[in-house]
Amino acid sequence: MQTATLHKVGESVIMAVPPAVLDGLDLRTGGVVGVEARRGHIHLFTPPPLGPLATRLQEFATLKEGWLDGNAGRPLDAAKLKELAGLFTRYFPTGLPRPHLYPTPEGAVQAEWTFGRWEAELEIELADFSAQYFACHMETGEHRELRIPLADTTGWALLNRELSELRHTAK
Amino acid sequence: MTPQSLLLRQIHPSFIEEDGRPTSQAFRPTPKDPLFLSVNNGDRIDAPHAHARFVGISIGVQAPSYAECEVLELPVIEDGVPHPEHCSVDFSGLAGGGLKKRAQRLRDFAAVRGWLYRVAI
Repeated sequence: MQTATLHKVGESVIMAVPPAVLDGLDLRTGGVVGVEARRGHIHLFTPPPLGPLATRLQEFATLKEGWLDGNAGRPLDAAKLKELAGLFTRYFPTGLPRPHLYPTPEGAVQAEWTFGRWEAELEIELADFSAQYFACHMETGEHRELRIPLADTTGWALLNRELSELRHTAK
Repeated sequence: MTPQSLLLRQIHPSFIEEDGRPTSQAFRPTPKDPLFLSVNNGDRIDAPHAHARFVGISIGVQAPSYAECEVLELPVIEDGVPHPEHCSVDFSGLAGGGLKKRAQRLRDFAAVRGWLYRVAI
């Protein structure tokens, strides 16, 4: 049996695993796995269990050309939807509420959140994961608008910061 | 039409989540007619009949009021085409945040009334 060493880093515990344990699992540094402690054992799941967000995104892959009204409504790329689900899994914090997700007639994905009287929406282009963020307060009309590149981690950090601020403001 | 008149909007099934919440996209013009939001005058036809006659795909009907459109400076045109009860909410001249803000607020107004008609699933 291989052994692993536990290290405390901040509030987390890091488990140093011999690379041989990961052989054959198609895992590498930076990968994401599901973790569960059960009956004295720690179980790693690869790939991570399919969450409701990924399930919802995969539904959009079934939309055919003209899905909106027979003419408008472009199909959404299944591989890109899967990739977007992976980005959410990797970079969207579990402390924030899961977005409501919808397809757009242009073949993009719209994510929406409600924080009190703030409504936020994010239109994500599947081609390059660039996104347009828009949030508006339903009573004051105050709004925020940003272009956010979700293909890299800085974009996700920006999105998460914006949403966290809205949540804080709404309290 | 009066300030209380409801403007019946058909909601596409892909535009709601499992919990029944519609996207703001349901309250903004579609690529088919990018300047106008197609609605029916609720004074002249009720939600079940408007749904029954709708030729597109709809899971149900929600509605902002005429007065709420006025608050958002969205003119409502009683165009009567393709049927006498038909109206168009005029989004012309709006784009980007201005358009999104109004669609969000129309959704917000309509959500207070909830579903005026909903297809049984």
